[in-house]
Amino acid sequence: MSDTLLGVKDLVVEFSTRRGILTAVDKVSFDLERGEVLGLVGESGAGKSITGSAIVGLIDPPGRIAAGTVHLAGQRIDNLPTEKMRHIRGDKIGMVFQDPLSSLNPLYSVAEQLVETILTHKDISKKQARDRAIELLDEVGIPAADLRIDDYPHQFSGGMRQRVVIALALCADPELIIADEPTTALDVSVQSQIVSVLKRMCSEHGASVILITHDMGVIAEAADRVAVLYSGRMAEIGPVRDVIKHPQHPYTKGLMGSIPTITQKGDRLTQIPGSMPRLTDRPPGCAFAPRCEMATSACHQSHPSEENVGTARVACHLITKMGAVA
Amino acid sequence: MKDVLVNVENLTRIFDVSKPWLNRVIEREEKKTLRAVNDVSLEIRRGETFALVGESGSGKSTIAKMIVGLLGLSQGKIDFDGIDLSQLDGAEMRALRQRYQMIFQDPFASLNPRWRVNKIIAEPLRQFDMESSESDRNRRVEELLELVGMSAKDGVKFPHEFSGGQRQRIAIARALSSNPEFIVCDEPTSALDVSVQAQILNLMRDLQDELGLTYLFISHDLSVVRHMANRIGVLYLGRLVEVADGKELFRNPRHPYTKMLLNAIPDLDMTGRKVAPPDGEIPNPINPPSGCTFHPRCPIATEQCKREIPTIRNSDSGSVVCFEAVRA
Amino acid sequence: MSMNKETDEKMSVIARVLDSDIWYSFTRSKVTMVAALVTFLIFASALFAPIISPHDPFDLASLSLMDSLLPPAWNAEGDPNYLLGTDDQGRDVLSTILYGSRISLAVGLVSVAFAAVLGITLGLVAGYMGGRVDAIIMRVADVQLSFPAILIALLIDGTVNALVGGMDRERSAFTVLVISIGLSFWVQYARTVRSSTLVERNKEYVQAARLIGLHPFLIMLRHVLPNVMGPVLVIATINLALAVITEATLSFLGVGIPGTQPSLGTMIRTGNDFLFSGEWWITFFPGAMLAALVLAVNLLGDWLRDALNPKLR
Repeated sequence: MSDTLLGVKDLVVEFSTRRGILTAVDKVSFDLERGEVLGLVGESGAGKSITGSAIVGLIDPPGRIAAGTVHLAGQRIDNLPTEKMRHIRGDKIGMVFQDPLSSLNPLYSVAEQLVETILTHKDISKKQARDRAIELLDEVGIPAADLRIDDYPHQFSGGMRQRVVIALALCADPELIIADEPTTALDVSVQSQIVSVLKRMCSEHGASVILITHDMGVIAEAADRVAVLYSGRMAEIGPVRDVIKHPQHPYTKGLMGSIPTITQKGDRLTQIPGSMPRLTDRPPGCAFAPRCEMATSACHQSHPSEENVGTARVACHLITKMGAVA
Repeated sequence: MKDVLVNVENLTRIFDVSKPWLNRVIEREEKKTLRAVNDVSLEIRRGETFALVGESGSGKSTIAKMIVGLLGLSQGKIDFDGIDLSQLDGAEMRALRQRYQMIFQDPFASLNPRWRVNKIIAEPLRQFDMESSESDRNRRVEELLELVGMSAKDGVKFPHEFSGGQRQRIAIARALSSNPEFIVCDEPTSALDVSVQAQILNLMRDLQDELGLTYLFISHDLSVVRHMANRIGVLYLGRLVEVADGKELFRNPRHPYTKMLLNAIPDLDMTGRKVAPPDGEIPNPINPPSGCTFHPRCPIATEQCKREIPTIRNSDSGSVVCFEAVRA
Repeated sequence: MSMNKETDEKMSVIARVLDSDIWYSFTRSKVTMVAALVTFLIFASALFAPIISPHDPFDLASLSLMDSLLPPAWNAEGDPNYLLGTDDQGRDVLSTILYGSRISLAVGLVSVAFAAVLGITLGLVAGYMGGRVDAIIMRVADVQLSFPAILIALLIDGTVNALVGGMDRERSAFTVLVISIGLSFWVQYARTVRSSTLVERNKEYVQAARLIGLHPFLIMLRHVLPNVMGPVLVIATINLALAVITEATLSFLGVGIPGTQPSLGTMIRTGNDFLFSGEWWITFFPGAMLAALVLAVNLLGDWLRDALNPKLR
């Protein structure tokens, strides 16, 4: 238990709009061990990115953290003043975003950005910082790092840029990296490169990772555990292998069946009817009930609580009742 | 035997990417061109799904646009059902346009946001004078909506009232309205969530069976292509490097690039298969490598590959463009 | 049956407006609501000027020099018949303002409409066609930008006067103003519409229309035009205020509406001569009216720009 780096408990993020209050994240809880890669997966609008932003305190009005706690290395961080939170973000949390171009300042060379970040966190000379920067670029797999370090972001290709962003995120030796769709904007053949660089770098630098993505393939390659979000709520969380091979929640089952794989037999993909409800008209019971073939009256009436099933934790009435879905 | 619906020969598209004339003169620069599609020949058989796979810059969307006439050809020739498209006059072209359609990638951009759904679906009907009266047209639109799994009542709504998957259904209904035989699908599910992607892919297969459609299916996702296609063409930097039957390509890939792509597919079945991230990145298409454009990333490249451009080799199961793959 | 359908559709339009984000943002902004009210009052009073104004300033028979230069009614020497006083020819300032804003608004609206139609058409064609057509239209626009409205107005006014002679000035003044203001404003529309057209042209719904062989003219009209009108509306609103001011400036300089049927600008000019002799009301009240109108319309335009901008929502 002492090895828990991040503890998120009953996190609720609300957005007040003119149509009332939207609960984008509804009582999401999870722990992140040191050195672990946790995947947050879900469809667009499931609340995965907002969960990530809430952890690092980057929810802008009209959104707000309405309830719950976030602890980083024992310290509660969800209620810190903006200025303090900024320091924590700089020192302990690194971020990698979907679009590498927007995470880098186009007006400064890669060297300037890396050196500046290193110098704000470490008391070393400029020369040492530059050497450290070259070392980092070399580690993330940028060829001829000592020559390319003075290039500007636009001179790098998309994949190389994302490598630079990873190097930048690791500059301050953070304890936690939040990677929000780090491979979505990249080509297929580059995606797996970035996934493996991210995974290797974080384990070498001892950083824990929250990997936010809609792509189960990326999760399968990189994550240790995976949390499946549906309509702002946790559907299922457990070790990647178990969740992918033996999903418990009907949504996870449907999701896994709907992904075409190269070894697939048969013509039709499993399909989940309908689409995720908009946050404005989330059903009163289990959010997945309207699309669930096995839904009972209890599913339509009340929101299921999370129960441990084997290695996973699942929120489903059917499982609580029967132990497991057949 | 081979009932070819679309035959493409030596298709080439060159884009002028040079700076404006004045800048060129002042900076003493040459004209710059980009060969987005380079000497591509392929045939699409009636009733099949032919897939083109490639990464960005491979020219897959450019080929799609050239086939449906949204982009002109720099070189080459396209035959549709034996008719050379370049030889047609206006009226003949108009008649032929009814017979092919396209489904686009982004369902949020492919429907005019100011139009109601039934007007969107009816536009091709009106353009081709398909239904004689307003009420016939309305009935046809309702039929089409139900065909794609929507309610006939959805016609009076605007596109923004629907989710991405529903919009893609509307786009499919529009594409089907002129009773086409051939539909070009340009990454039809890459903007959708996985669970919705499955719905759309299933719908497209059902429609193919029901209406006897022929698809040209463009995608970057090999798993989706594996699921949808009878035959697959792999593109790299504007060139077709391998064409094979779907199963054959996955069981026995011949071109080193195809092998590289297959190795990069995540192991979602948890079979323990080793996933190997490919080496290198796609070169800048304005300035492609000499010889075989894949040679800088190719694990089996020889001196010959750097100098000469390989030609196509056909065999029973397909064709491949590679010196070494043929030798092996 | 058909009646029902029609009312249903009307009801749904009203419901949609009341439910829209724009209406919501409108009701949330007090300033905008006040601005809208002021604009509405000014437009209404201009429209109904013949009914609501106490005197007819153009009826020469009713004018009396005896009543000239009377101060506003609350002043000791004021006449309760002339609430805001009279000008040098004995015209009631209030009535003249009402009639004057009628002319000012007419010039503003017509010239904005002229500029918008010209600019939208050229911008749409330039953006959609591209290539040489685009280059030519946009170079003309660049040249146009370097001429201020006043210069164009002087140019056209001079030409028209030389052609028709001074006699018809009263009749030609309106047209001259509209054309010169319109010509100096169209570039903004053309540029905005062109850049939005460049974006829309590459969207897939336009490609879908091209695919079925729809005529480019119809694509521009049916597909592109409705989707580029948002920014145009904003420019038009803000331009209306600008056009009214430009009209006032031109009239102030003597190129605009002649003094017999004064616009707000003409009134301010005439009043200006009396400002230093103490008859401040002749220029002050039209000036205040102009300021109120311009401010209100500008505020509306600002709000519209924010409300239509998805990024600020």
